[in-house]
Amino acid sequence: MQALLASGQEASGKKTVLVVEDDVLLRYVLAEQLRDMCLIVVEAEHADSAITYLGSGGPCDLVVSDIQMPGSLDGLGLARYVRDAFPQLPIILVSGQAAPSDDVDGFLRKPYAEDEITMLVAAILQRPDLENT
Amino acid sequence: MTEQPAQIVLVVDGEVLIRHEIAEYLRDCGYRVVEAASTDEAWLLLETSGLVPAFLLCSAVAPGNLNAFTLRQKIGAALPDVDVIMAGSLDAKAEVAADLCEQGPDLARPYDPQLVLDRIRRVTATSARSGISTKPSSDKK
Repeated sequence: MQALLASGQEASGKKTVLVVEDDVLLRYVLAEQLRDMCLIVVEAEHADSAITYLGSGGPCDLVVSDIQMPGSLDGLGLARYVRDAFPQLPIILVSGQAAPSDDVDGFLRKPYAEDEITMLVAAILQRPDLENT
Repeated sequence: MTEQPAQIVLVVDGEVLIRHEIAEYLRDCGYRVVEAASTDEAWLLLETSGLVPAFLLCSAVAPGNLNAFTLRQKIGAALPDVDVIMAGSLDAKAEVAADLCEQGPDLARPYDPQLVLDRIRRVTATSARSGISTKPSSDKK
């Protein structure tokens, strides 16, 4: 899978994933897993920080966000913001609670296995509609 | 000959745009970089993850219940081999990153640290124009 994601991509053409998670230990582990897939990872500790990054115009191909977070918005609020402001940007939500009814590109229930998240991320980033983003 | 594992730098900064740019620059210099958005996150990582960074680059105004100077004292007592470097201004942070890069595993800087500064200034200005605060939220669970 790592080779799959890395193949055909120049160093400058790496995909960027924005990880939004307030638990630093979970965020660190997930960010390392995604960097091992040759992805650039932006780490945000809550939705406000994620919106600051997205608002700066920084590159982003996928958002992976926890649902329960401190700050002005939780993960569901962030998903709605992303849908409104960046309708082409896919989002995966993760939570220890049941799946939300909101329309998102993927949902994983915590605790998830490493393979589950990496396979879902790889599958979304290889979608034909996102190949040239 | 076996390859040496990359030295770890822990970057502690509450501003996502600054933290990310500095961290990416140091990664391009060959370091393994771990990020913390507050002093509390940094201490939690050090206490529980088993990480032993060679360097900790900490914003002097990093948010958290511990102030940055108290964090440095605690690390000095618990992990005396960790070189804690404090930086206040954006220029100072970029300069520290450039110095670390010179000491780093790769022989050459990947690019001029002035580019890091310019990029941070550009993206923070873009955020300001779009009315988005670059200040970390003080809300906590």
